Amino acid sequence: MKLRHRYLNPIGVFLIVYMFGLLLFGFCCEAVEWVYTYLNHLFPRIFPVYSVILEKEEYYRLLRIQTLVGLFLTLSLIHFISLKLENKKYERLIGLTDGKYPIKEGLKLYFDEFLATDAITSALIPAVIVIPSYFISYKLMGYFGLIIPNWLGYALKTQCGIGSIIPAVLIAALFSFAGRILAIPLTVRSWRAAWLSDI
Amino acid sequence: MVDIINVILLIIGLILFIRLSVWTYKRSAMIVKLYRLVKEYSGEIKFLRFPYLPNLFMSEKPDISVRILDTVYLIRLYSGGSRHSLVHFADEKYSVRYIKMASKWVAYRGFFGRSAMVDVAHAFTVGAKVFMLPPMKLSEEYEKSGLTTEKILLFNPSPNAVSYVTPEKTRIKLAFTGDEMNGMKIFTGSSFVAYADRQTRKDDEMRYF
Repeated sequence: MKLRHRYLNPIGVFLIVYMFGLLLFGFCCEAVEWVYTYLNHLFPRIFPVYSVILEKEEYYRLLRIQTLVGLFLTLSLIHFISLKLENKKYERLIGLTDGKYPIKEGLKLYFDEFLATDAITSALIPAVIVIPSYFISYKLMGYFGLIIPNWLGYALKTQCGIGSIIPAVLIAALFSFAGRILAIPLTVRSWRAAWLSDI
Repeated sequence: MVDIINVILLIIGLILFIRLSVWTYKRSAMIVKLYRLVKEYSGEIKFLRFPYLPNLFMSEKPDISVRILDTVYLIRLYSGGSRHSLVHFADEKYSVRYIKMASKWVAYRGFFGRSAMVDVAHAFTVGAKVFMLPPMKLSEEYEKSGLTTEKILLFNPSPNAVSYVTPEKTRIKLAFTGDEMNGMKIFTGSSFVAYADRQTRKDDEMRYF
């Protein structure tokens, strides 16, 4: 039996990347809002803007959707950055192929070797990102006099209709997994190019 | 906010437009040169694939075939990016195009009352992209016709330098125009035209295409 945990890097290495994700999340949510405003400018009927007072329901629904898109973007970016830093996986894949693989073959090798560790990592990331940001970050900022919106509060608490943390973490884990799936082909591509151009 | 996004989109669009128009100009200029060459020696030119397609996908088929007297040049196009980019062939199939950027920082640093100049130089790779070049398959008509065939790898736009791993896999060599690499001769657009002209002409008169 292969000991797959050999390739699992200590979580402390990625903690900085994940904490950086908190800042990134805020920025991504803002960016999605900018894009929505721009789309509203182009197609006002398809992408309407609601009033907070008169159309509260619609306004919150829109906010939730925007935040979930922001969350997905953030998690994909974090996965991409953290995967690029995983030297053990890089070395293993390059050692097997010498960097000469089509993307399909590279993905197959990747999933054969690292599926278990990937499942663990993509489950751990929401636990590290979501819990602090859900409970700490917006309150912590409040102590310093900075008022930031509780994005995850909007997205997850109101989406589920329950004040519980468990559905919130589950949704974030699902999004995290989807983000991981998006990040892996990009990483496999960039590893190949990095190895072949290093002469 | 809408204005800022408009400006950003405009800048991205302009960069893409300039890049595309430079590539289009270079490729069309090369094709015009080939036509002039063919007209000079009353040869024949055939486009087997759309000549802008190799920027995206490489194929087993050659892209252009040029017949001059008894020789058929089977040309494969390879987009070399720009004059800053380097191309490396790891083997017959796998090649990578990339840009090597150098950064140098110079700073004065104090060490216990004394100052020393700190000089840091660092090179890093940007925009590496892998191209897969499948082995060339020729149709039977060339074998039946009895014409001599030459396989050409033509870089257009031409890169800064091309390197390759030798078939013995012992060293990396720089390749120059006219060198044979993995069974193909490599050229840029104008150097190929000059080469084909040199091979064909009888007199010593200079020709400009």
